[in-house]
Amino acid sequence: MPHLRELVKLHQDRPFALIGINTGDSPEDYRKGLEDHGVSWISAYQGEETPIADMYRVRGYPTYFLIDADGKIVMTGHSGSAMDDKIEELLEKAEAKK
Amino acid sequence: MILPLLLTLSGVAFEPPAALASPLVMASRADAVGELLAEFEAAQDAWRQRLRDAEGIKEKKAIRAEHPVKAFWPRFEALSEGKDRAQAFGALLWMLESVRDKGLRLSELDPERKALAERVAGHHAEAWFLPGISALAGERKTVGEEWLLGVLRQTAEVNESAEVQAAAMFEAVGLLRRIGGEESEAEAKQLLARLVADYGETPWGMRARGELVSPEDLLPGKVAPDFMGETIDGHQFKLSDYRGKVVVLDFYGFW
Repeated sequence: MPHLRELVKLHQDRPFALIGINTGDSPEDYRKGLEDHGVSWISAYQGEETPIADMYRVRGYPTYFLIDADGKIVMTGHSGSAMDDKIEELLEKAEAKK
Repeated sequence: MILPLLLTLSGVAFEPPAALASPLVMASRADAVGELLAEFEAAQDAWRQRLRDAEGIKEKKAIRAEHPVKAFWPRFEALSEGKDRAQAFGALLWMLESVRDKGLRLSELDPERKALAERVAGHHAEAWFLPGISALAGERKTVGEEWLLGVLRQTAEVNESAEVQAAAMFEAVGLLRRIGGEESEAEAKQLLARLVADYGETPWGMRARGELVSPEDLLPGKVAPDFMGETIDGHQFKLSDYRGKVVVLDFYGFW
């Protein structure tokens, strides 16, 4: 979470979006978590059913999908910081296009 | 376990959206079958306790032979033949679930289970049929896959509730994939496409779209499958709304 928070802050003026998909928290825990962890970015709450996580075949948490400006999957993994360099590269590409 | 099967909808693959939940299934909670079920559950708990307290093999054997299903059977049977068809259905579900404890010889058990399954299937057009889908799916080996598939296809076509139709389609997809082969897969895909088209952004439609996504569709280089997400405050968004941005999708939990 701290890393993600930094990421959002770091790229706040760039074409970047972090989208959270929550699985497994009760509504109360979820609301509390949003506040405690300072989740300022958009986050979908799935409740008991997990159609989005199922669609993406998510087996462990956290799981990340890095998606480029064209909507294509670039990499997946379980470590947020492992994506840092790739995110920078994709952002530069997206900004060059504009 | 009878109670969860009847009193909740947990037998189906996932909870239906609240807006589609069948009022008839909900209404059957507090009624003659519900009362009889509660009475039966209490009797069964007491019987289990006696079994635990029994000493010696002989005494245990004697108690085992007095399973409460036997005493309750005629009462459920009477309800199953009553005029109120929704009540009859509830009683039938109990009978199908409990018949193995009736003390029948093995040679009698399978024909009786089949006969009960047929009677349950007789309700396939009714709004209250939902728990019947998982009950019959549980009898797959007794009734045969082809027969079960036939009932599910029928239910998907003629059931008066959209929710029950969707549940039947999903069960059929699972069964077709279990049966395997090109033809089955083609029919499964067709059913899923219908669910996507008819159930849009409801959990049914979402689940269908998820089923149509293959592991290969999630590899680097593929367009990330679109989905509709909803925040806890009800704001809806789509992944495709973020085209033009670099996106990190983060599947997480606070737990």
